Amino acid sequence: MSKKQGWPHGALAAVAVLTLVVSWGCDRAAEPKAPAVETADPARILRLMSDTLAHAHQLTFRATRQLDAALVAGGVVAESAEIEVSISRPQMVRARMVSGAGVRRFYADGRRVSLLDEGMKLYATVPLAGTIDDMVNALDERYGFTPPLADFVVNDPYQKFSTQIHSTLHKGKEAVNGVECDRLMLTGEIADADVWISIADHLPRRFVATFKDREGSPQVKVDFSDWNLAATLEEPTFLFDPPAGAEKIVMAEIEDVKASAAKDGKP
Amino acid sequence: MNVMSHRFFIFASLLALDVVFHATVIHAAGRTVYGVSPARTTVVVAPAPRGVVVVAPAPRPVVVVAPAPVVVGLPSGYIAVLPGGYTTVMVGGARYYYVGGIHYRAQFYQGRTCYVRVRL
Repeated sequence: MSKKQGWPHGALAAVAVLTLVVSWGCDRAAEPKAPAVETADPARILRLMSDTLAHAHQLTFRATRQLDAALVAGGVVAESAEIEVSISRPQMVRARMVSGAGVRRFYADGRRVSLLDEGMKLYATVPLAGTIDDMVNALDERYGFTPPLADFVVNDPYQKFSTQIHSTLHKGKEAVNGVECDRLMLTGEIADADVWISIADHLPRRFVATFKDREGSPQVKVDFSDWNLAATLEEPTFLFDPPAGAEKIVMAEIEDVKASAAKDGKP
Repeated sequence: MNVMSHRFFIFASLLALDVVFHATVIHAAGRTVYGVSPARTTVVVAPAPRGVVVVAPAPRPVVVVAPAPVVVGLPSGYIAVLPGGYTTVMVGGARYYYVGGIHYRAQFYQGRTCYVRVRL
């Protein structure tokens, strides 16, 4: 008996909920006095930015990056750096970074990765073949770092972001250096980030990540500029040639350093 | 099927729809997040050799609070910047840096130039 009575109640509940949903939608559409609010889909905006970057075969951009001291390994002061990046998809990246620590260069030509410390005349080269995404993952895994601004450099930025965020939220429209942008909040497990994406060209203009797993919630702030998605870059641009007098040194693998430290720590 | 299970089904369906519309749930997989290495992989605590100043933090008691106090450091024996007044020494064709009675050898650690204390 009670089983038979359950169906009408359930159906009534479903109809009630559907009626509520439909009426809510109708009310919103029928409001004549409300200002026209464009519903922005943050995932779509992030996807659009990623696609814009991914579809540019050769591109260059500049960025100013500020790292709070707590995010600088071995550092006790914040780091401000001017970064220039050149990309030739799918395999090649070159970056030049000028900071208080000097001038550093990064090269990836699809076969090798090289680092150069210009001031100290030191360099390292390791074999790392594959696409930019392969290279970024391998560097991260073996050597514990990625090229500057790797999230925006890889061939599939959307996938890269997706591994680091739980949810996205559109926080409105704001101007960054005179450019009208959509502001998105990307919530993640380790860090939350805000990214400002130009409404006109879908390119990132500002990025601020706040690390929740550290005391003081330190931040990395990046301002992007000088985007050129139609750059003409020849292959030699990405080939590393050690300058005269530079010495080749080791690029330490994370596991080796851990093993060495553990060995030294023995009584 | 009883009334409760019908209501639960409707509620669950609406909840699932909400999740689909508003969230993308993918958990972090890599080590580095937005170009910053997780602090836990950069901190290697080891007893410091006597008379040597190191940048790595001293061991501290574990305090379970959220967020946990984490210090970004370098492994024991590593320094990020050479002390002033160092001299460059060539030994066996390799470049070393000598200061305060200690020899250092350069290497890239996590993409940055660091100096490791060595014994010659």
